[in-house]
Amino acid sequence: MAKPIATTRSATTIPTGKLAVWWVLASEIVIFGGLLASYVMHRLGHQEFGDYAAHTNTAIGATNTFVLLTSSYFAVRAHFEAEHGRGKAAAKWLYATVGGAVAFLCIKSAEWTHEIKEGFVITKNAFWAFYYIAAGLHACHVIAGAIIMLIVAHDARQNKELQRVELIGIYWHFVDVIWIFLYPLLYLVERHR
Amino acid sequence: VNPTHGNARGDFGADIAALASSWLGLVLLMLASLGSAYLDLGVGNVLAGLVIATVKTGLVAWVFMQLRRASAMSRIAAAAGLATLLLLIALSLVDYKTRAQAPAAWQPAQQIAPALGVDSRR
Repeated sequence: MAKPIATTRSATTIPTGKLAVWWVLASEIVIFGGLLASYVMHRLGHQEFGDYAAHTNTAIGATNTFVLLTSSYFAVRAHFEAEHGRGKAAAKWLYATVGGAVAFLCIKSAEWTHEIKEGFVITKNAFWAFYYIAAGLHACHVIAGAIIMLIVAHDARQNKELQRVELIGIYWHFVDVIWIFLYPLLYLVERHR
Repeated sequence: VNPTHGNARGDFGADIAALASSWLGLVLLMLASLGSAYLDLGVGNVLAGLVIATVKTGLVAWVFMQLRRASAMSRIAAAAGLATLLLLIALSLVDYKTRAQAPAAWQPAQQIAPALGVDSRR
């Protein structure tokens, strides 16, 4: 079977697939950047925005941050093993990363269930609308990353397409970076009162 | 043969100890961010959170995403994303800071009455 063009052709001295991932991330920044910019505007204009933000659960936010940071470490370990040609070891680290993604989503589900039961629904006010849209969009990226990682791990286990381990790793680190910014904005506001 | 094709030097550029140290650094920065939120720093609370997030992002990009050994093209793509983000926020702030009128009053979310049936009552 013919190999994908993205990993066999290069017009810029680096594989097209790798360059494509970087450009996808650059465009993703515009999506999340727009959300973050709108957050800043609301926060500057309305004190109430900060007041509502104080209701989120800091412990859950910190736990999920720890989970994602650790899963990012697992992803880079997978890349490390793939770089040394050890497909099975790379697959194991990828599965561990997927485990982190599942843990993140389970914690997030429990958190949302609690918030909704407390009456903090998406239509409550602008902050909660932002909270659900930003965290929901991020969660969609987590789900997509986990699915792609399972596919990559399946091939890596047989020492196939090891270059993809790095590509999905770069994407996963970006998902981590988005959360790194969402964490202080959503979970650490007005805690000193 | 380098399986990932993207490394001109043929080595990973970091050993396991360096990767683990970076992870530990990220966790410590997360705890610093958490701790700073409980200090009354005024606007400094938001700034501290964002500055620490930026440092964490630098660590992730430099070590985990391997930007430190990436080709110029990859770095250009990353820089383009960052520049777009800064442009987006800067232009939004220019608009916000130069508006003469005060911000609109806070409005709680509410259900708007449906327009259907208005004509039938006439």
